[in-house]
Amino acid sequence: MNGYVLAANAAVWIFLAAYAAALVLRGRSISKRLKQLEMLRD
Amino acid sequence: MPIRLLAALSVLALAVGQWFIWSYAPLEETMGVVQKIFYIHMPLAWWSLVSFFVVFCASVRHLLKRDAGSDILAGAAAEIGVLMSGLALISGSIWGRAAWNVWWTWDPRLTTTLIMWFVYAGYLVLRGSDMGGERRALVCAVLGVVAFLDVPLVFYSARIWRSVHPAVLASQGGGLEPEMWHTVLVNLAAFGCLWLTLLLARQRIGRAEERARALMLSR
Repeated sequence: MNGYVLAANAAVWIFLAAYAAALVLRGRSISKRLKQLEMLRD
Repeated sequence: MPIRLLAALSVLALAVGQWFIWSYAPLEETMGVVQKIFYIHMPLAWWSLVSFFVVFCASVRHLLKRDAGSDILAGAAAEIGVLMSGLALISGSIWGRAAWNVWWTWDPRLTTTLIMWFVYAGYLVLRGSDMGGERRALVCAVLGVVAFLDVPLVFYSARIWRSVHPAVLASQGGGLEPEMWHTVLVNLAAFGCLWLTLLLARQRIGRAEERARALMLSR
């Protein structure tokens, strides 16, 4: 595969995968925090 | 539709899109395999503009109704728009190096896109600032409306001014063969699925953060 095509694809898919992974981790972290806060309130 | 199902659908659609790029679309005569960058570059640019339109609509709604939901949606769309326009700039720059022999040129389309990226990156910095909830949301909504002024300029720049950037949608057929158009449309739809998944996921996180903030304040 051409180096330019490889570089463009690598950049796009790595950044998109990293953002999606960061969203998953952030989602898990905030839902855990939310559960703790709701338990404290009850 | 649950986000997990939508995410699985996006992965499947992106895989189908890749099959169209590498197996279905013919090799372009002049540029060869490098032209295939266009099939990921164009959907990224397109959905980033849609993101900024969502920021504009949500900001107008926030200014009219002052609801937290619109502010959260605007923030989510801006984040995804900055990511996708950033990736469109990177992939476009790599394509430019192969096609024009330069990484960057101050062409109207490229320049307006870079300005747009900086404006919305600034918008995200403003969203992260410690200005106080309602005031920050109001200032961001105003910026969300004003920032959108650059978006039509980006879209029409290649037609209004002399631009080296190809205006595929403006020209009849854009010099693309039917198989190439099918590939463009499939990838546009696939990236649309991904865009919607990321937007809904980010919006859900925003809502949860808002709820956590409210619970903290009520303690």
